Amino acid sequence: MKKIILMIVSLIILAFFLTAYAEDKQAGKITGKHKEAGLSCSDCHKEKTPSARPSQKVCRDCHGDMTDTKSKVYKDIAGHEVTFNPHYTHTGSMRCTLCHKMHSTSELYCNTGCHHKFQVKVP
Amino acid sequence: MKKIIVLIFMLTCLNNSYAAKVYNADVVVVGAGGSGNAAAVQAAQLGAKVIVLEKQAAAGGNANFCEGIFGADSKFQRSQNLPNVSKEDLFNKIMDFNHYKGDPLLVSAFVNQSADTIEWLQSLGVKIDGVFLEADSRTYTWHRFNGLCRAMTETLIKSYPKYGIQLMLETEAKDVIMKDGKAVGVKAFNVEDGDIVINAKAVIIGTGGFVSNAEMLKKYADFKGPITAIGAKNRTGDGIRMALAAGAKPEGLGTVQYHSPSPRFAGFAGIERRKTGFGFNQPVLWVNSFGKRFVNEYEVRNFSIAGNAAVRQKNGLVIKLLDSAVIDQYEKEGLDFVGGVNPRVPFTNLLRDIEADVQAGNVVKANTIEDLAKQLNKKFGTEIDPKILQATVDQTNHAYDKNFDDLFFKPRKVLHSFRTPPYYAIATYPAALGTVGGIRVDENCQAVDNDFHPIPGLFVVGADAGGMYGDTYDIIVAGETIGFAVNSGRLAAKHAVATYVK
Repeated sequence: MKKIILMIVSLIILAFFLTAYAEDKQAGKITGKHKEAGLSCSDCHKEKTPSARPSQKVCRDCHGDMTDTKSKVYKDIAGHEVTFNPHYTHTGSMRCTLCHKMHSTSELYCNTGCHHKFQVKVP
Repeated sequence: MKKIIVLIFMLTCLNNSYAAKVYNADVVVVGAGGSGNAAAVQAAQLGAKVIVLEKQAAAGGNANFCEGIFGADSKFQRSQNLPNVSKEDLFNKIMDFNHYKGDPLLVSAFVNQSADTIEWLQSLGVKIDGVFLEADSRTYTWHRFNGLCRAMTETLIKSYPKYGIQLMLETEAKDVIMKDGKAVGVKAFNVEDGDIVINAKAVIIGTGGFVSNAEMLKKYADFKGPITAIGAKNRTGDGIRMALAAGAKPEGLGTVQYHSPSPRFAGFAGIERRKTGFGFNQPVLWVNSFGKRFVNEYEVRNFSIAGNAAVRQKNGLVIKLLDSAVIDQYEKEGLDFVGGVNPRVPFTNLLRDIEADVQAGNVVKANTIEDLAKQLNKKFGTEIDPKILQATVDQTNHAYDKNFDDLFFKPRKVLHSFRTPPYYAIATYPAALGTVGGIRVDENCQAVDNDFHPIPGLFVVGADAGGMYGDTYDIIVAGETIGFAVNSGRLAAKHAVATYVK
C-alpha cells in the first residue's frame, strides 16, 4: 500500500513539473530595446525558465498605462487619413504584446486583427 | 490506506479548483459588442457593479461595422418631418413582415424604447447626423451615427471607467453557473489568469450569434453549403450554447441574416481592393445554374431578401452578368445601387478592374451568349443551355425596350439592355452578415425555459436572442440589427438590476 501511495505522490509531483516545462521549448530571443537594456527572461517572465507568457502587468509596471499619449494622423494604404491614438482606441485597453512583440517583429493589431492597413512602425 | 489515497485525490482536486481566480459583480455581461456594451453601461448607470467578458483581443464585435440605428418617432424623425415612422406604423410594419413569427411583446418593447435609446446614446456623447434612407430601403428609420457605429462603440467603451465597469478582453466565457435553477455567474478562461469564475446576481449574454460556426450553420440554416461570413470574426455561438446548456428554450436559430450572394475570391477586402465585387452586385441580370432569372434584381438593395432568393438556387450559385454598355454607363454616371452610406459617383476604372479579374480567372468574358454559357458551364459547373440563356437575355432586352419587366416587375429606372459585347459574368455564393436568432426571451430579454418560464438571472440579448424576426431579417426597416442589440441590452439591464440586484 505504501508503494502505491508513494507512486501516486510521485506521479502528481511529476505532472506538476511536466506542465511547468511544457512550453519551455518556444523560448525565443529578445529583440529590440529590451535586449539593448540588458533585460533577461526572468525580468518579465518572473521565473528562471519561462513556462508561459508573462502578465501584461509586467509591461505596465514599467511603462504605465500609456494614458498620456496623444492622437496622431495615420495613413492607410488607400491614402485615407485617420486620426487616432493607438493606446486609446475604440477597442478597449488591449494587451500590450498584441502589438509590441518581444520575440518577433512588432506590428499594429489593427492591421493584423481587422481590415485596416495603417502605415505605422510599431516599437 | 484507501482513505489516504482518497484524501490525496481530493487534495489534488481542491488544488485545481483553488486555481480559478474569483471575481464578484452584480451583473456579468458576456460579449462586448453592440448589445453587451449597452447592457453594461445601462446596468452600471442604475448602480450595478458590472464585469464585461470579451473573447476577442479587441472590444466592439460586429458593432464596429454597422452605420445607423433604428428609431421610431424620434426627435430627429419629427424635426425632419418624416412620414410613416410613428411607433404604430413601425410596429405594424415589423409584425406584418414577420407575420407574427416574431414576439409582439418583444417587438413592442423594442419599438417603444427606440426613440429614448437614441437620446440615451446622445446623453453618453454619441453623435447622430440625422435620419437617412439606408441604401434605398423603404422607411426612414435609419439614424446614422457620426463616425458610424464604430464611433458609437468607442464612446460607450470609453465611458467604462467612469461607470466602474471592468472590461476583460481575451476572456472566453465557458458556462453559465446555475444554482437552484438560477443563473449566478459565469465560468470563463482568461488569457492571463487561466480559468476564472465571475459570481454575479444576473448574467447577460450577447455574443453575436454563430455565423462563424460552420457546424451550427449546417445544423440550423436552411442553406446547407458553405456560407461566407461578413463582419466581425469568431462569432461562434458561445452564448447560445451556454444558454441552451443552462436550460433555455431555442427560438429562431435558423434565421440567417443573408447578404446578397458574394464572389468567393474577393471577400470584403477584395471588394475594397478592386471594384469588381460592387460592380457586379447590381440590378442588371442575375441567373441561376440553369440560366434563368429568379429574382427582381433590384432586391439587391434589400440584402436579406436577395440572399433568401439566392439560397433557394442550386448550390446557392448565382451568376451575375454585365454587358459592356452598362459597364460604360456605371463608369460615367455611377452605379444603380450604392450600398450603405456611399455617394453615387462615377464608378471609374470598373472595366480596368473587371479585366484584371478576367486575367486572374475570377471573371468570365465572352463575345456571344453561346460562348458565355459554355465558359460558365466549364468554369463554375453550371448547366446552362445556351438557348435558355438566350431566351433570358431576350426577355431582359424586351423588358428594356417596352420599359416594363413583365416577369419580375423590376423598376423601370434600373432596366438595362444586354446587347453590347463583350459580356462579363461572375459566380457568386451565399454570404451572411450574421445570424439573428437563438434563444427564446420574454419582453425583458430574459431567457425562458422549455416550460416558458423565465430563468431567474439569465438574460439573452442582441443576435443571440430570438423573437425579433421571423425567418428573415426585415431589411425594409433599416438599422434594426444594431437597434435591437442596443435596445435589448438596455431592456435586459434595466430588468436585471431592478429584479436581481436591488
